[in-house]
Amino acid sequence: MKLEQVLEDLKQSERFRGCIAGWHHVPPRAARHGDFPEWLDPRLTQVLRGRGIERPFTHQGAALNAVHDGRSVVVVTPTASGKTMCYNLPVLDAILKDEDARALYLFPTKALSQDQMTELHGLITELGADIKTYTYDGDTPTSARKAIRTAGHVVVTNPDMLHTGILPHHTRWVKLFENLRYVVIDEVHHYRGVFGSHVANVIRRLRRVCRFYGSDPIFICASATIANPLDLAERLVGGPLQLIDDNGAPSGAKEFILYNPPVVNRELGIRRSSALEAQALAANFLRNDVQTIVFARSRVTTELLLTYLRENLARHPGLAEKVHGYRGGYLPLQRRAIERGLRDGSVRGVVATNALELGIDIGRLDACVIVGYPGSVSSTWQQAGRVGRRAGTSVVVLVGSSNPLDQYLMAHPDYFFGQPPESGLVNPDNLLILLSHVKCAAFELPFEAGEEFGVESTEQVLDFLAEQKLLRRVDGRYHWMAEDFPAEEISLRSAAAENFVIIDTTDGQTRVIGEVDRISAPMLIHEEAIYIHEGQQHHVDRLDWGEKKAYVRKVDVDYYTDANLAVRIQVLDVFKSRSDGDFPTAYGEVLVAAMATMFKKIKLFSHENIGSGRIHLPEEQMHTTAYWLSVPETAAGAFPSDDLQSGLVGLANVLVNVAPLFLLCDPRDVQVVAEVKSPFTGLPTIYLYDRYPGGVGLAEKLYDVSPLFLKTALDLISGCSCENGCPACVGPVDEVGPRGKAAAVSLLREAIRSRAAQG
Amino acid sequence: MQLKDKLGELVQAGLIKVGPADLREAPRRSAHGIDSVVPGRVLTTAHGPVFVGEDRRPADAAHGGVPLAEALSLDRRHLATLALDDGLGDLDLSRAVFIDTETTGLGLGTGTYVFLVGLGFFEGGDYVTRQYFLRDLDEEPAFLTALQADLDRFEAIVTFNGKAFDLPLLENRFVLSRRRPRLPDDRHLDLRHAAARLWRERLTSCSLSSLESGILGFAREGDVPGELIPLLYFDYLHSGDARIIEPVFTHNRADILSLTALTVKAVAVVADPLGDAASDPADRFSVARLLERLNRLEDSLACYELALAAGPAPTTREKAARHLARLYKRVGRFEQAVGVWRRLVQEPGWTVHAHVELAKYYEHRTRDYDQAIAVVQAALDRLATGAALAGIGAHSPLAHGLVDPPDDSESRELLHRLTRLRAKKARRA
Repeated sequence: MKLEQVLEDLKQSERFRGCIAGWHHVPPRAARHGDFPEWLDPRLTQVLRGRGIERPFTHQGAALNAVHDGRSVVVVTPTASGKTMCYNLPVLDAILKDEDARALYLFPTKALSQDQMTELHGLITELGADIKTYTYDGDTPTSARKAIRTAGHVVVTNPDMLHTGILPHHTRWVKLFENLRYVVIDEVHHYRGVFGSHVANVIRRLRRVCRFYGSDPIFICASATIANPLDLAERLVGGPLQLIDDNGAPSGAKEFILYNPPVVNRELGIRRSSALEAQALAANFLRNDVQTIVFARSRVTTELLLTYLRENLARHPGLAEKVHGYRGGYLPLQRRAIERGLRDGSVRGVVATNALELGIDIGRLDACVIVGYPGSVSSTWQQAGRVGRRAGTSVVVLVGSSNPLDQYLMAHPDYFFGQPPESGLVNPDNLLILLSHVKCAAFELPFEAGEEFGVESTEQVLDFLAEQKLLRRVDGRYHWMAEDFPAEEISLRSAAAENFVIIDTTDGQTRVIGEVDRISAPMLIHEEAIYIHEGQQHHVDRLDWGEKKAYVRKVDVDYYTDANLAVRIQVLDVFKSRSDGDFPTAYGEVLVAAMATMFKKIKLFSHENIGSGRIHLPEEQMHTTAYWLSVPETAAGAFPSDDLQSGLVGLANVLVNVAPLFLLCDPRDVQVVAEVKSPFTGLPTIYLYDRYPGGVGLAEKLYDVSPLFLKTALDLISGCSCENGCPACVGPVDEVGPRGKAAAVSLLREAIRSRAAQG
Repeated sequence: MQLKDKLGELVQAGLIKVGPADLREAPRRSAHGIDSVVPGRVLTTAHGPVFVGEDRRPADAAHGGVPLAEALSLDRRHLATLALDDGLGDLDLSRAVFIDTETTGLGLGTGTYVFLVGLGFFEGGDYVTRQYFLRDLDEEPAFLTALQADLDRFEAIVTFNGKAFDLPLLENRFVLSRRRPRLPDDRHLDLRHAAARLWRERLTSCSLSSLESGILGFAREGDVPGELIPLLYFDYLHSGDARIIEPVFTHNRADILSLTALTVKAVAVVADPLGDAASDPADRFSVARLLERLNRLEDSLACYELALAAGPAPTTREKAARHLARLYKRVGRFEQAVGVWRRLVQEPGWTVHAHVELAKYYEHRTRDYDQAIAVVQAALDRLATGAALAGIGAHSPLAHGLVDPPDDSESRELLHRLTRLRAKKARRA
C-alpha cells in the first residue's frame, strides 16, 4: 500500500487522531544545480557523468569554488544531500594534479571511517587512478602502518588516533605533514562540549605540526544543522571559515507528527508506554510494506522494541525476519549487511540507536518512528533525515515519553517546529583541557618564546609547567622534560584524567567492565549503590577511593539507588551580570564543593522510597562556571518561608530540565543548586553550573538566553496538566511540597513581569 | 583569581600530573660542570659548542675476558651468519661503530630526548669510547651536528636493540631539527637478536646484564639501574651538578665495551660451531638451529649430534633429539632418524611426537603395518595414562583401562591412523 494511503487510514482512526499533538507538513523541494568548475579534472567529471550526475547541486558547486580559491569552509546541509562530494572532489582533484598531495580525513567513529572509505574507494576505482587511501586507527595492523605513513594519499582516522597515534609521532609522518593540502572534518556537530573542546586543541596541535613542516592545509568541514555551525566549526579549527548552507539537493514532502500516547490514568497523569505505542505504529507501517526505521534512546530499548515488533509481525510470513536491530556492539560485518539490506530494500525495518544517526549510508526510507525525544532538536532532525525519497511523501512520528522535555514538546508543538536547533558549544580555552594539550604540544615540539597556543596567556601556562618540572625553559624555548607520554594519559572523550574502574567480581572472577569519571563516582559507585551497566544491575560491594576501583557483583533487584549530593557554591569571580528587572542574573566562576551524604533505594516502576544509607566519602571540590538567578527581597517577601523554599526547589528542577533545550549537551552536563539565602548574593539564588571543571561554555550560553530560558520554564510548568507538581515539571509533590508548583509559577511570573516592566 | 593560582588548584585537585616532587624543589646551581667530572673536551660546531667525553684504552685490553682487538681479526663472513643478513658479508669491524644511547624515556615519541650517544671504535691501536653529551637541551643542534660528522666516518653500526630503539629515536631527533639523518642503518648488526638466537636456550634471559654474567662472566658493581637514568638526567639539568650524571657515562661506556666483547664471543661461536666456543650443549644446540636455518645441513647435523652427546639438560635433550631426527629425515638418512625416534619412544615422558614419526616411517617407507600399529597403540597408551595421571582421577574409566581415550586432536589423529593401518593390514592379508 502507498504511504499516502496508510496516512489517510491513520487520519480516519479516532484513537490516532486523539494522540496527535502536532502535525507539520514539510513541502517538497526541487533540485537546484550549479556547474562543475572549469578547473575540475575531466576524469572526475567523466566518472560523475557515468553515475548520472551531470551537474552538482548548488552547495556542492559553492564548496568546490571556495576551496579552490583557498578558503576553508563548513558545509551545512541535511542528511543525504551529497555532502561527501564537497570534500572528495577537491581532494581527488588535487591528488590527480599532484601525486605528492596529501589529505587527512577525521571522523568521530571508526564505523563512519569505514563507510567513507568504501565511498572513496568506489570513486577511485572508477577513476582508475593510483590513489592510495587508508584508514589508520587502533585496528590498523602494525605491519601496514609504515606503508600508510609514507604512501597514503588520503589517511582516514579519528581525533583520538590523531591525538595519541599520529601527532606525538609526527617524525614518522614527514611526507604527510610536508604535503598536507586538505584536512576534512565531517560531523562537526558531534564535536561539542568536553569532547569538542579537546578536539579543538588537537587541531591546534595539528596546525602547529603542519607549520613546522611548512604546510598550511585548507579545512573542509561538514555539519548537520545546528544553530551555530559556523561558530562551532571556527572554534574547532581555530580560524575563519566560509559557511556553505545553500542546500540544492531535492527532497520529497515530509509529514512530521508529534504523537503523545493516550492517558491511561488521569489522576496520576500516566500515559501509555511510548515503546508500546511506537511498536504498534511501526508494525502498522511494516504490514503495509512501508520501509521503516525506529529510533530508540538506549541499547536496551532497541532490543526490547525489536522483540515486540517481531512478535507482532509473526503472523505475517517472512516479514519478521526482514526487521533487524542496529546498535553499538553489533559486529561490523553484521552492520554492513543490514546497511546493504536497507539500501537495496531487502531489509524492511530496522530498530536502531543513534548509532545510525551519524552519516552512515543506508539510502532513504519511507517512515521513521522516534521513540522519545532524542534530547535535542538537532538530533531529532538528523534522525528524521533518514526518511524522504527525492520524490514522494515520507513520514516521521515522534512518540513522546513521560520525560519532562518530551511532555513540554508535546504541549508546545509550535516551539519544536519553530525553534532553531541548539547551539553546539565548545570551550577550547577551558584551563584544564588547554593545559592537557599544552603538555602534548610541548611533547611534540618545543614551544618558542612568544608562541601562542590558542590563548594570549600561553607563556604563563608554559612558565607554570616549567615550575612544575614538566618543561624545561632554556634559551627562551620550552622543552618537554619528563618520561611520561602525555597524550596517553588524556582521553578526549571522558571528563577528567582520572577515571574509576568498575570491576565485576561475579563468580569469583575479576573483570573490568567499565569506567566512571571522577566527578560522577561519588553519586554512581558509592558502596551499596546499584550500578547499571549494559542493562545489567550490579551491586557495589566495595569502593577503593585511593585506588580508584569499585568492586561490583551482578544482582537482580527491584530497586535502583539515588545518591544525595550536598553542594556548596562559592562565587570566585563574576564575568557578566545584569538585572532582569529586579531579578539579578550573572555568570562567573565558582567553586563547587560537593559531598555525597546519603542514598535512597527506590523501587522500580512505583518509585517508592524503600530504604536509605549513608555514604562515607570525602568532599570533592571543583572550579567551574555557573549561571545564577536571584530573587529580590521584595518578591521573596511575598512568600511564607516554606513556600519560598518549595518554589526554589521546584524552579531549580524545571530550569535544569529545560536547559538542554538551548544547549547541545547531555542532560547531566548541567547541574543545579538552590540556596534560600546565598552567602554571595545574600538572596534566594539558583545556580546552574557546568559539570566539567572550568566549564565548556554552557553557563555563558544560559546567561545569554536568560529571558527566553525563564519563559520556556514557565511555559513548561503552566502547560503541565498535573495539579501540584509531577516529575514532568517541578518534580514530585513529596520532594517539592504541595505548594511547590504554585510558588515556582509565581516566582517565574514575577521575574518575567518585572523584566517586561523594565523593558 | 590569578591564572597561576587556578593552575595550582588543578594540580592540588590531582587533575593535572606534574613532575616528581624532589625535582620541584628549588634547584641548586653547582660548580661541578661536566668537563670537571668526565674526561673530555668541548667541541665547537657551526651550531655552537658540545661536550664530548673520551676514553682510550689499548685495543688489546680485555673486557669480560675478551681482548677487544680480537674484533679486528674476525672472519667477516661470520658476521653475516650471525645476523642472518647477507648484506653484512663484508662488514669490517675496524670501520664499524658500536653505538649505545641514553634517553629521557623509553617511549619512541617525539618528546623523548637522546642526551648521551656513546660511540665505540678502533683507532690507531686503541679502542676509543667517545660520548656526545647534551649539557642542556638547547645544545641539541650542535650535538647532532658533531655526532653526524663523526658517524659519517663509519661504514656500519653495531647496536644492542638499536633497530627498535636507539636508531628510531636518533632519527626523530634529526627530523625534529629539520635534518635528513644519515645513519648507515642499511649496514646494521643488531646484536640483541643475534645473541638471543645463540644463547637463549641456555640463559633464558638475553638482556645485556644476563649476557654479561652468562657469557662474559662478570657482574657490574655500583652500576646505575637503567630505569633511574632519565631522572638522574633531569636532576642534573636542574642542579647543574654533573656528579649526578657521571655514573651514566660509566654505565654507557660499559654497555659499549660489553657490546664489543659480546660480538667477538658470538662470532667465535659461529666461526667454529664444532669447536670449544660452543662447548655447552645448550649453545651447541642453538648453533645447530642457526646453521639449519642457513641450510648448512651437514654442520648442523654434527652440532645436534655433539649437543646430544654432551649430555644436555632434559628439556634441551628432548628438543635436540627431535630436531636431529627431523633433519636426518630431511636429508634422507632414515635409518639414523629411526634410531633417534626409537630412543625417544623408550624414554619416559608424555609426548608422542616420536611415536607419530615412527608410525609414519613404518607405514609409508617400510610398509611394516604391524610395527606401525604397535607404535600407535603405545602412543595411545601413553596419552591415556598421561591424561589419567594429569588428574582425570582414580575413578576415571581410563584409569581402569576401559579404553576411551580423551577427546583431543592428538588422540583422534592416532585413532584415525590406527583404523587406516588396520584396514591396510587387512587388505594385504
